[in-house]
Amino acid sequence: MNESELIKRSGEGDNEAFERLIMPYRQGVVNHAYVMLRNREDAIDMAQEALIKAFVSIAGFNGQSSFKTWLYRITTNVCLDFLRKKKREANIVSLTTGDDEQQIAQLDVADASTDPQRKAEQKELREAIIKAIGELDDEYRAAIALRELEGMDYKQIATTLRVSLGTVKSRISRARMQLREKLSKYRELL
Amino acid sequence: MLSCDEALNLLSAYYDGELGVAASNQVKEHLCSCEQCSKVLEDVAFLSSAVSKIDFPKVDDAFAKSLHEKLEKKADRPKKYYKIMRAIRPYAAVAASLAIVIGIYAVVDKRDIGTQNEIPIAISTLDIANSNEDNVSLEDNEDTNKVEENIVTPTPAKQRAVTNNKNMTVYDDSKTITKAEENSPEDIVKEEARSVQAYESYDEEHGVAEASYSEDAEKENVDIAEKEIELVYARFKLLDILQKEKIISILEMYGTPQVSDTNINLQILAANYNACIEVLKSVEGLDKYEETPIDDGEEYCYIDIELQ
Repeated sequence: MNESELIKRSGEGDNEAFERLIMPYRQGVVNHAYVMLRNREDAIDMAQEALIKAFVSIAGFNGQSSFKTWLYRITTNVCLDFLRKKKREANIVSLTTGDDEQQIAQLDVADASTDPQRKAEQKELREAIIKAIGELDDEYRAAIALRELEGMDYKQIATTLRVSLGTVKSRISRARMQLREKLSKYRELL
Repeated sequence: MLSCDEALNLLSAYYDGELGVAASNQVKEHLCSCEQCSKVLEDVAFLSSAVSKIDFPKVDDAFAKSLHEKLEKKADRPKKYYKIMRAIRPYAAVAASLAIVIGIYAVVDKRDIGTQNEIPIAISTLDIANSNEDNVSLEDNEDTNKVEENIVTPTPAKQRAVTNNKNMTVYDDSKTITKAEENSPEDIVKEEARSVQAYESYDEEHGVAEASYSEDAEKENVDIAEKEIELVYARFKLLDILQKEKIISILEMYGTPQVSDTNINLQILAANYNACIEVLKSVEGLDKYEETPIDDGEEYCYIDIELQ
């Protein structure tokens, strides 16, 4: 059964068809949610939330954009809503304090060194990178995540986020420059 | 040759291969002679690589099982929804005709739509008109002329009282702006950010929605009618492009339409949806061809107009 047939069956309430439909996208949705939310549990919860919302809304999917684009749009919005509510509750957990310390993503920066000092530096850098990503504006983070994780081109990102191509260019560029600026003191490690 | 500032502005798109040939060549030329900008490009490349190598949470069996269970709960909903729709559709035709007449009147004199006097009539009547879509009872509809509200506008307070078709709804204002705010230059940036959310803004209100899926069929139907049926995604095709501005001006009375070359989209408070739809229906060259129930919380409906 091809994707369009699965979409049609899903729109008729066939959850098994939907589960087959989303199989190739599930990990990507979780990844995207994780970059957006920076917390494993939240990422899993919101990824599921996004997939459920996609299921109950799929009858309205008209194929104007690709299913992937549509799905990531929903995921992005679920995450943005979650973040907004979290901020509203003034309950944002710092990326670098408390329990989240242990949940910070471990970046594989291709460091095969066994030198303890080098390893410590790389760990510091990894934490700095994920902290810097967490400090980006939500919209910037969404754009950079779609680019870096999903490999979407700018047009796909524009469709996903429903913004102009120029806005996508601007957000990604600013996100990168902000990341670079935030990590300037680690430049020698870059 | 590009200055450093110009080159840096283009560097990210250059790295992603999103520049045209001419611009790309210009950046390349600059990089050949500028060590500083070349270093920035290296940093961009490294950061790009680092972001893509984050150790992500894995989709495991527990994830799949949990998702499967949740999806199964949702799976029955469309059938139930359409069953209710079919049941009450016969009562809607007369009311719909009446609503269209009022809608036409509203379009002819646009200023009246924004006044305190006309909209209550439009909304209350249109609630009846859309009873085939809203699955409201006839008893409820008889009372709708008592509604004394205008177009529902967001309030600062976080108030969420879902309408039962007798009372209008008061909503949280976090997702919409008032018309007065639209003209503020500062809001242009905010508007851009908001547009990310403008069409498919989802609340975490499913606990409420799921509560309506009781074993008791009658109670369930009532719950659905009260809590879910108002939320729809309507699609139109605009065959007459000359009507575009008119449509935008109509939509602006209900929210902040997002306009592109191919579409006009509007996120609209559910309480205003029926009124807006009926006004749109009266526009020549605008065909409504699809209306789909959505389950995105309890606040917003969505209107999507394709420009042909």
